[in-house]
This record gives sequence, structure tokens and C-alpha cells, in this order.
Amino acid sequence: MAALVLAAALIQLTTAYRFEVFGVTPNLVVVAVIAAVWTFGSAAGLAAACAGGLLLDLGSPGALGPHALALLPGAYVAAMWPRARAEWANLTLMALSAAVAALLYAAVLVALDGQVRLGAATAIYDLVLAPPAFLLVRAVGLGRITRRAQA
Amino acid sequence: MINRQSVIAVSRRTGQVLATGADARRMLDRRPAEIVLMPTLRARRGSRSTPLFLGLCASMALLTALSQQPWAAGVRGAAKSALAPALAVMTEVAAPVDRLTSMLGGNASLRAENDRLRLADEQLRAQLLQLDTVEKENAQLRQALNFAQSSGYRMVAASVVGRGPDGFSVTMEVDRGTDDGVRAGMVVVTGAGLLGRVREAGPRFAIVETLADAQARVDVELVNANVQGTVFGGASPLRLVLQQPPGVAVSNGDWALTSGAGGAFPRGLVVGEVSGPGRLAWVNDPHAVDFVLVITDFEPS
Repeated sequence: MAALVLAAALIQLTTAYRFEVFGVTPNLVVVAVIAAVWTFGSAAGLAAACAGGLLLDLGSPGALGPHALALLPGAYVAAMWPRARAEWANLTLMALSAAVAALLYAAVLVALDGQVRLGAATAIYDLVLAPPAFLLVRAVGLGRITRRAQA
Repeated sequence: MINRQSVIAVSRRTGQVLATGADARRMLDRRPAEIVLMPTLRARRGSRSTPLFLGLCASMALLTALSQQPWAAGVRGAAKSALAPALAVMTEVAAPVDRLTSMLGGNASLRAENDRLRLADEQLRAQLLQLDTVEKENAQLRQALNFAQSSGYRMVAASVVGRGPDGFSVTMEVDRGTDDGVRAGMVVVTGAGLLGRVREAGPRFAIVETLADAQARVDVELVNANVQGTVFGGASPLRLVLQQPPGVAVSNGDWALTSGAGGAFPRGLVVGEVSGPGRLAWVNDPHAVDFVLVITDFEPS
């Protein structure tokens, strides 16, 4: 999970701007955090939010902590989010939780920054990206757990 | 079994648990006024993660407050400097990927290529303007477009190793810092013109706030119309507010240079070209900038 968050943050800080669509770039760290919450649980997801946010803070001007603060509510809400039995329903719920997390992230940054710019478009972008990211993280994460159990 | 026991029916009046699981759900159908259903698993899940969430939020809020203190600037700068090499490596790694996506085509890559070509075109037009300026011996334009030679500013060249993580801060991180003489507040340019200013600097990194950031402001003057105004940062095209006297016309294609008013920027740096009423096409595209020059001997007032 640490590698996932580190990779997401580094990509976000260096190459995410290349995936700009209509002036909007995705927030891969939000997606990674939500995938971590849905795969590894709330505690791991909250830890991922802290770590990912601090990495973003290291690449941003100003204090250390605002991006971590912005990611934590999204991770918490995703941990509270209802789960469904059907795979498609679960993916839909997960994608919605990613969009809500992106909105909360933007709202917290707006509140901290005092600027009125909300990342609704980013939320839509993350909503689309979240299900494949979740499937990927789950496949990798559960594969490792299974291999450890077999060993 | 877990799903069946996921709700309990509780008496509003006494607080007593009356039924669990499927029995509780059946009671909901009858819904006597004094009975309420409560989700047990979600409540338990919430109770587990809530203290951790609140604790982490408090920790991060404390870190935010402490790391803003002047005495913490050194530690903060050192931490950010530690990330700069990783960002530089990641940028190097991503370069072939970008070339690959360009080869494969796609709208985003084509658009990026189009932007790069547009930037190159603007740079060529800026160079043409420079030649024209030399011919007319216009000292002001010569200083703006060829400032490195004409003004004699000392500059530090730096590579862009990172970008702001989101649209909230349109910044870029460069691989030169206080060890190279770069300080917060210094003006940053490219070959095309003004890019922004250094907002924060550590030993081996500096974060540049570009004109694409909504908080950026630059006082400019138009070359042909000889009108002063202010450029407000934001998405391209930039917003241009002119102090336009009656009877003075401003035409598209007029160049805006820094006026030097207020002493925030040196006079004569190219900012952009008027592209419409209140609009200025910035000469720089922050997504296409890979190398910058930091003017180290201009002291903003």
C-alpha cells in the first residue's frame, strides 16, 4: 500500500498534468486512498490519506499538512460508505465514494486556502478512474495476501 | 448471519433491545411509534475509525500550524528538498512515456502538441518583435525581449522537476534552491517571457508560483497603445484590466510588458499579447515549460 501511495503522489506531482481533459487533471492520490480504504479497510485508508497528503504537501508551497487534512475526510466517508453484495453495485458505490472524496478534498482546500474554486470536475474524473483503480489494487493486494497465506 | 444481525429494534421509550436481525426488520413493517431500527455494524465500524480519524485530523492540523512557523522553515525546506530528487527521477522516467503517447496519438497528446506548437509560434513572434525593436532602437522592448544581455541581470538556470498537485496552486518545482542563490520572491522567466516568481525555496528546490495561479498579479503596459494595466492570473487567456484613457484604442496583437510599477517585477519583461477585450494570451504555457531562469539580482520592493 505504501508503494501505491508513493507512486500515486509522484505521478500526481510530475506527470498527472499530461492527462488533462478540458483543463481538468485527475487526482490520483484521492483515487489511491479510496482504493486503499475499500481494499484494506478504514485504518489503512486513513493512514494512506495521511501519507499521500504529506507527499503532496512536500511538492506544494506552504505548510506541511493541508493536503493530508483534505484527504482524511474523504477516506473517513469512504470507510463509512455502504457496501453492496453485487460486484457492479459495489463498484458503483466505490466510484461515488471517490467522487465525494474528491469534493471533500476540494472543499477542505478551499476552506484552508480561502479561495472559491471547487474541484467538481476533478470529482467526476476521479469517479471514472476509481473502479479500475480499485480492481487493480484489490487484485494486487489480495494476490499478495493469498500468496503469504499459502507460504 | 452478519447481514441478518446487522440491525436491532430498540424501544424509544425504554431503550431496551426488542429484536435483532430479521425479526427486527419484520417489526419495521408494523412500525410501532415507540420502536426504532438501528444499524449495528455500521455504527461499530464508525466507532472504530472515528477516534483514529479525529486523532489524525488533529495531528495534521497541529503539523499545519507548526510547520508555518518561521522557526520551522528550515525543517520544512529540508523535507521538501528530500523529495526533489525523487521528483526529478520520476520526471525523467515519465519523459519516454510522454513521447510514446505522442507517437500513439490521441486527443490529449495532439492537443498538447498543438499547445507546444502554438507556444513555439508565439516565441518566434516574440523574436520577430525583438528584431523589429532593435531596428527601431526601442530600448524598452530590447530590454524586455533580450533582457539577459541588455539588462545584465544575473540568472540561475533550473529544470522543472514537479508541478502543483492540483488546480488549487498552479505551481512548479525546480531543482535549484537557496544553495544556488535562489530566494523566495525572485522573478522567474523563460526565453519567451515572464513566468512567475519564487514562492518558497529550500536548499535544493524552489517552488515557483506561475501567472496561471489565480493569486498572481502583474502590472503591465501595452507597447503600441502605451496604456498601463494589470494582468490577473488564472486560466489562459489571462484577464487584462487596462487603465484606458478615453480615445485610446487597444488592438489585438499589442504586446504587454511588465511596467515595473510597484517594483514587484523588473520593467520590460514580455507577458503576453492582447487577444481580445480584457484578454491576454500569455507567452508561456506552464505545462510546456521544462527549463526556467531565476533572476537572482533583482530585489522586489
